[in-house]
Amino acid sequence: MGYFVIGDDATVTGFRLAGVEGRAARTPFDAREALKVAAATEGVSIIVITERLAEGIKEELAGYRASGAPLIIHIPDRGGPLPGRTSIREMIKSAVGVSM
Amino acid sequence: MEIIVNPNRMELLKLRARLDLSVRGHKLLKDKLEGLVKEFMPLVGAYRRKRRHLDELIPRTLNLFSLAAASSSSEIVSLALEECRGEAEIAAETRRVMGIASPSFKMKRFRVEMAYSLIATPPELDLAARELGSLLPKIVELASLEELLRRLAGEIEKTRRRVNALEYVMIPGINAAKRGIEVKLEESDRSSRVRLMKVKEILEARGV
Repeated sequence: MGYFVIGDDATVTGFRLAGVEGRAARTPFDAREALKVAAATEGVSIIVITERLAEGIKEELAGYRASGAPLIIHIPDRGGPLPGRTSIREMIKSAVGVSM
Repeated sequence: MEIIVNPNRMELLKLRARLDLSVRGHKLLKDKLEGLVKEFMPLVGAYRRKRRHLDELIPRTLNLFSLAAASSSSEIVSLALEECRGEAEIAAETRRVMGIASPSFKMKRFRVEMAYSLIATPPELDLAARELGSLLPKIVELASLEELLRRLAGEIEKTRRRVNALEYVMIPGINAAKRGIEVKLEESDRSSRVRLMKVKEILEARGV
């Protein structure tokens, strides 16, 4: 059971330093391919993906999420978190009925 | 929602039973919704705190790594990366909140072998490696919490929709149908009574 990182070069090499496997991607197409590799890799329980890449492949990520494991988590890249992160805010809004 | 049924006593009894069930179901679901929201809110607070913490730490650590890569040659860094072997053992459990199961991962053991030359590599590389190692358990924790929140949010939405459907569609529909049958039954009751009175009058007039 382990991690798999999908991100820009710096993120992936950075995580490799901590012994985490990963695949660098620059375009949504690369990210989609990397996601397929991650899902097919045995023993991956958490896919870590940078927000910037995740933005481009929202539908695919939603599909993987609906199918259950592995868990997918978005992290900021070197540039810091993206402004106006929507996913969690939308989730809270749909659950509680008010924006928080 | 209009419920169309034959206006007879049998249907009236059935509708009364349905109304009873719907009202009970509505109360139960409303209690469940309240319970879910009560569990959800503190988890959102915890998630936000952890998220903010990681949002600060990750870019800082990655920048540290970039600094290390910039202050030495790319060959040294890539060689060092080749020598890094990490081994993470993540334990999977199932966490239940208000009956909703969600996978919960915890990092049991994490070992990273940094077998690269300490002399050739810049100190920032060691720092970045150590920091990233300490970030991994936090990432697992956050991912598990996010998944739990996602599932709770889905369940809250589903329950709210059910509560609303019962409150604004089902129960008023059954009540309307029930009232309709009652009115019809009263009407037929009155008409049969009038008929009987009329028959009695005719019979009396005939002197029977």
